[in-house]
Amino acid sequence: MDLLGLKGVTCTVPGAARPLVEEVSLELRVGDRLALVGPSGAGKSSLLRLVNRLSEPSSGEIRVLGKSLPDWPVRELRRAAALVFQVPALFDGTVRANLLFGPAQAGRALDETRLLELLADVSLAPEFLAREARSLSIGEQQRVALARALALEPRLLLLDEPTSALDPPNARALVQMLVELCTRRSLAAVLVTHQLEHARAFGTRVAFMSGGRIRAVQPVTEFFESPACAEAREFIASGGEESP
Amino acid sequence: MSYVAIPYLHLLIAASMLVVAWAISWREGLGMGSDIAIGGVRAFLQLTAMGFVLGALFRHPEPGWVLLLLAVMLAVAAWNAAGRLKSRVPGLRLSMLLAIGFGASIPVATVILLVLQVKPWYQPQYIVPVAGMILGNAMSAAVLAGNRWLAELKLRRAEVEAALALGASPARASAAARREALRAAALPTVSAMMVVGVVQLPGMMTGQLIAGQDPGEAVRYQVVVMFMLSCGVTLASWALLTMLRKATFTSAEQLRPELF
Repeated sequence: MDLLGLKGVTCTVPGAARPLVEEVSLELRVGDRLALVGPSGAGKSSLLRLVNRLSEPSSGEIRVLGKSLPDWPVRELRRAAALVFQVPALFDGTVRANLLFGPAQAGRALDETRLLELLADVSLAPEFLAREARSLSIGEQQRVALARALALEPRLLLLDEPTSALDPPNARALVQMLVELCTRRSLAAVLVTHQLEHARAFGTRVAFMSGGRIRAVQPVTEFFESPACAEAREFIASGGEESP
Repeated sequence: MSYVAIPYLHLLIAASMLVVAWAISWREGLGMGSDIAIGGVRAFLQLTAMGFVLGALFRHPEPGWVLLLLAVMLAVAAWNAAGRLKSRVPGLRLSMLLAIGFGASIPVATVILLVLQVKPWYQPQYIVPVAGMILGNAMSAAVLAGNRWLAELKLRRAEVEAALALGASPARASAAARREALRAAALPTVSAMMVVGVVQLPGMMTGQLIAGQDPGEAVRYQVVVMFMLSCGVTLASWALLTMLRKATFTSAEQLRPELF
C-alpha cells in the first residue's frame, strides 16, 4: 500500500497567474525518503500543505495510507502525516509543554520515558525538557519542532525546508539525523529543500519541481548522474539555489 | 428643576467649534474636512430626527413602536460595525446583528426589569437611552474585537497553522488570538471604569446634572450604566468572536485563504 499517493493534483488561487501546484502525481511507499527540490516558487511547500490539508486542492486526489483526504477526520490525518514547517513556530512555554501539545489534542499524555526518547531522537539532552522553548537557538528550536511532530506518532513526515534557517554544519547534522530517524522508526518522509547537498544526503528518490509541476522523479543517484529533464540538469549544474 | 435651554441660534455658535476641527484638518492635510462637515450635519440631522421620534414615542408609548425603534438602532449599529471591519468575512452583517443584539439585550433587560424595575417595561424615557448607550458601546467593541482578531491571526499565522498541523481544533489553535481580541474590546470600557468620576463625568450623568437631578441620584444611574456597559461590551465581542471563528476557518479546519 502506498503511504502517500497524489493523482493529478492541482491547486489554484484566485488572482494568481498560474496554479501553485499543477497536475502533480506522486507515490511514496514505506521506507521511501523523497527529496523534493526545485527553485523557489516551484510549489514545493504548497504541495506539503495540501497533503497536511492546510490548503485545499482545486482538483485531483490525494490519498494518505490508502484513504482519500476527504474521508479522513482532518485532525487524525494531520497526526498521521505530520508537517514540520520552515519556521519552528514553537509555542510559548517549555519544551515539555510543546512536546505534550500534539498528543494532548488527541487526549493522550506522554510519560517521562517517552519525552526523553523524543529528545534523544532529535539529539537533544534531557535538560532541554524544562527550558523555555522560544529561548533556544534556532537550530535547537527546529529540533524541538521536529520532536513535537514525532510525538504524534506519524506514519509520514512532511518536512518543509527545516534546514533553511540553519548554518551549513547544523543543517548537515539535521539532515543526517533525519535519515537515521526515518530508518530507525521506519518512517516515510518528504523533505523539501533548495539545497542539492541535502537532497543527495537525504533522499532515496528525488523529485524535481518547477512552475507548479513535477518534472522528474528518479532514484537519487540516477537523478544526479542523468537527470530526466533539461531543467533539472540546469538546476544541478547551477548547484541548486540558495534559500531566499 | 430648571436648566438653560439652547435656542437654535446658539447651536450655530456651538458649530463654530467644529470649524476649529475642520481648520486643523485642512491645515495639516488630514483629508478629513468633508468627513467633519458631513459628520457635523449628520449628527445634527440624526439627533434632531431622533428628538422628533422620541417626542412622538413619549406622547404615545406603544410597545410595538418602541421595539421597532430599538430594532432600527440595532440594524444601523450592525451595518456600521460590519462596514468598519477591515476584511470581507462571509456573513459578517448577520454576525454583527446577532452579536450586538445578544450582547445588548441581556444588560438592557437586566437594567430595565431588575435594576430600575420600570413599569411598563417599554417606557421610552428609560429603554431607549439605555439601549442606545449599550448598542453604541457594543458596536465599537465588536469592531475592535473583529479587527484585532483578524490582525492577530495574520500575525500569529505560523503558530496557528503549527497548532492545526499538530491536530488542534481551530478553537484551540486560535485561542491566543481570541484572548487578545476580547481584551482589546473590553479595555476601553474597563479603563473608563477606572477613571470615571475622577477624570471624566460621563454623558448620562452630565445630562442628569444639567437637567437639575440630584447628584447622588445621577451617580447611582451612572454606576449602573458602567456595569451594564461592561457586560454588553464583553458579551457582544464574545459572541462575535465565536461566530467569526466559524467564518475564519473552513469546514476542513483551514484558515480561509481569501482572508489571509
